[in-house]
Amino acid sequence: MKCLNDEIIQIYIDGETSAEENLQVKTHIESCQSCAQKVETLKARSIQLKTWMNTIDKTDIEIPVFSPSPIVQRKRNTTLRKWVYAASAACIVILLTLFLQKPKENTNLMYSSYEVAGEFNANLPLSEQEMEIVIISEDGKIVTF
Amino acid sequence: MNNFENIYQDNYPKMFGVALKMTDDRDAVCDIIQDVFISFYQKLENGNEIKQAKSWLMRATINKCIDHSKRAKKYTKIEAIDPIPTQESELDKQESLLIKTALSKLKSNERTLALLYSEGLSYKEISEITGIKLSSVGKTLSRTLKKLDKILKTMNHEMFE
Repeated sequence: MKCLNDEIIQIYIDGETSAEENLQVKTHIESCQSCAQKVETLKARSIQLKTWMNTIDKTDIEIPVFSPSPIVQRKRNTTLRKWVYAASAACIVILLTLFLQKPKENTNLMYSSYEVAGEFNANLPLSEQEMEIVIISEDGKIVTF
Repeated sequence: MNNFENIYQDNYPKMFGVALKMTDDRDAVCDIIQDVFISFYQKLENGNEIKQAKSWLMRATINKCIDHSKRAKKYTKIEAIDPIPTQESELDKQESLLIKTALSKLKSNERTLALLYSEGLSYKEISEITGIKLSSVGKTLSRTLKKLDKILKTMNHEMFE
């Protein structure tokens, strides 16, 4: 068997090798002094680095009691509030649209009565007639032709 | 929710450990972990299934720590401007600072890998959290530890002589 590389040694140190790999490594280091030495060196390095990294103060970890209720409740209220705002805004828009809408002008003149003043001369064109036509609409508006 | 309580109790210390190595501020670490658990709780409450709870929590913690560090760079805390160190705490801080400095010299993914390894996570868990292929964890880890070891030795601190 070829000598062990760092990768397989690392996996072996961490106990992540398969049963077959484990056996191969063990068999090899029994017969190879160089690899056995390398395994020891890398093992020591791993332990040392782990120790160093764990020197960062982790003492006095107090696990606080978990209480999500107030925050969850607050978030729910926020969602409800959003819906209320949206509904209010929609109502305002609808009301404004209804109130600000211009009343549609009635283009068709509805009349309730009319009067014809003067006489109609059959020998003159319509534009030169002296007669007046007064139309009084339903709402009392007077239009004269 | 009994299940949640178990997950909370089981994972809190490891999450705290990783977060503390990434963030200097203990209070910030507590807030980060609390935030992560609130998100986790809400997901469960909304009926979302989280298959790998441990990995999800650790990943979320790391991401929140990265966000926190980015924000912290923008705003310097008042107490950080003019510290009044005592001799005793100064020694402890030096060790901690040295490790943190060495870790900060690693690439982001390497640092995460080293931190997770230091917390004793299995290769499978490391793979799930970091997204590194399970078959590549050993190789990447070996290189990262070699690099970290070299950095620490280069820093030539008496602790590592």
